[in-house]
Amino acid sequence: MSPVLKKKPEKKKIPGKYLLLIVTVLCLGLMLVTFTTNISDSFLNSSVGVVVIPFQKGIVNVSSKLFDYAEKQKTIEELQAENERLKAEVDSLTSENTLLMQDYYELTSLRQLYDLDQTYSDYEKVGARIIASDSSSWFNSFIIDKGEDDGIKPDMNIISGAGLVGIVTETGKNWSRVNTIINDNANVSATVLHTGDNLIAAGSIELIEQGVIAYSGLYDQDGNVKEGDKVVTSNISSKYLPGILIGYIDTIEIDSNNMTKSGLITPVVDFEHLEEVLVIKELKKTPES
Amino acid sequence: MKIKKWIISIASVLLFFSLQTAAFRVFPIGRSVPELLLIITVSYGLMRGEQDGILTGFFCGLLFDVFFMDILGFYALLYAFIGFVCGAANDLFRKDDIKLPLISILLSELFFCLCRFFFLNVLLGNFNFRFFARDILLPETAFTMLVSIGAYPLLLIVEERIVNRQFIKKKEEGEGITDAL
Repeated sequence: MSPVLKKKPEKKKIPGKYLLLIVTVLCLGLMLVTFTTNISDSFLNSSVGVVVIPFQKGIVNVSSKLFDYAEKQKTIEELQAENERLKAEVDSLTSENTLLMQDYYELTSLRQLYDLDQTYSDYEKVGARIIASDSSSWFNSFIIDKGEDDGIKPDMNIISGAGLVGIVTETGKNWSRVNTIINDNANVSATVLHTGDNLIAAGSIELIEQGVIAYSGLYDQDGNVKEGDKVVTSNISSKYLPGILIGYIDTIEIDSNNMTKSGLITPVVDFEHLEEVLVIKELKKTPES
Repeated sequence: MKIKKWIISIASVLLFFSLQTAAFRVFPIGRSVPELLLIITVSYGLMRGEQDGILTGFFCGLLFDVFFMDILGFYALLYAFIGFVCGAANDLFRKDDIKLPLISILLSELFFCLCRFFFLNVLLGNFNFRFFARDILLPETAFTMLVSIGAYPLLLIVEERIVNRQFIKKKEEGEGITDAL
């Protein structure tokens, strides 16, 4: 009796090893197809996005509400102390602001003189919320809640208030994936602002913990570049718009070839606490495009 | 019965994926996030058998690939393989035994991390195993184990109460048959 009982349910199912074989072949095929051809998996991207993104948005909302609630539980003393501090900060900022405004007027008039009215403050930007991050602790990339429907295209630059965050690598209907500049595979062609020397800034997973990115190939024979110098994206970069602040030079070391220098850059963006970013809706103009 | 099972599976996978990618961003331990998708793959493999383990793993991995990988299929294959191996241990599974699931999750997590280290790092020329072990493998494994102590019983309860009411009974019958043979 028991063999009969046992046989019945097994009849319908494909044995595990054959199913594994099918799945393996399917996966290898998928890998090969997506690797060799450049067909973006747009069908999957949009269909999966429609189902998953609302889920993620909901969870982000709930978790940030919980977070806000925890924040509210701060004691009154703490808030009072913070208030004092902030008032002082407001005062200093106001005075700083007036100074900056003067500079700004001067700058605009000078810019008009030079006909150079395009800095990155003029680019059309759209705000987006981070709704998921690469969960596997490597902090490779994150997902934002704007996609093709909002006019986002691959290679658009992502900034966050202070400076460069990364670049859009893939878009779905209502989501896009952003590759950050601190990622292992990220390389940005950059310039030291005050000397105009070019360098290559490259992320590395080992440096993420320290919150820095590495740079190399800085050709600076006279030693004009100092620690603390601003590093911005360069004019010759193929994907990044020029003049976006990346960070400040942290260390400088002379390479063994005695020609170039390398070291570390401290990015201005706080990658650990990113929540909202801005997408610059202008693509770098290159000869091919 | 079958439709119920599928709905529960899909909803759990979506929920776990969303939790893994979205909510833990707010409360991270170090940079690590527990591998919830691994927990669900291992649990379904153990509770339901090879076929379900493979399918659950495949879809979990594919979801991850679509969102975070440039090529599709890498995580899908890895998760499907883990689901298959855990499904093969389905015969050893007992409802009241939490040791087997936890050990399975631990071994799967280690295997999973090493695979990622080999395919995503070593092949790209990054050989720093010590960094990898200290900063990624250890915290992630610890976090995953911690979460699985809570998440696994939850999955088991859902499986028992909603998906398969004869779950316990069936298991006992299955035991009887294997004993008889």
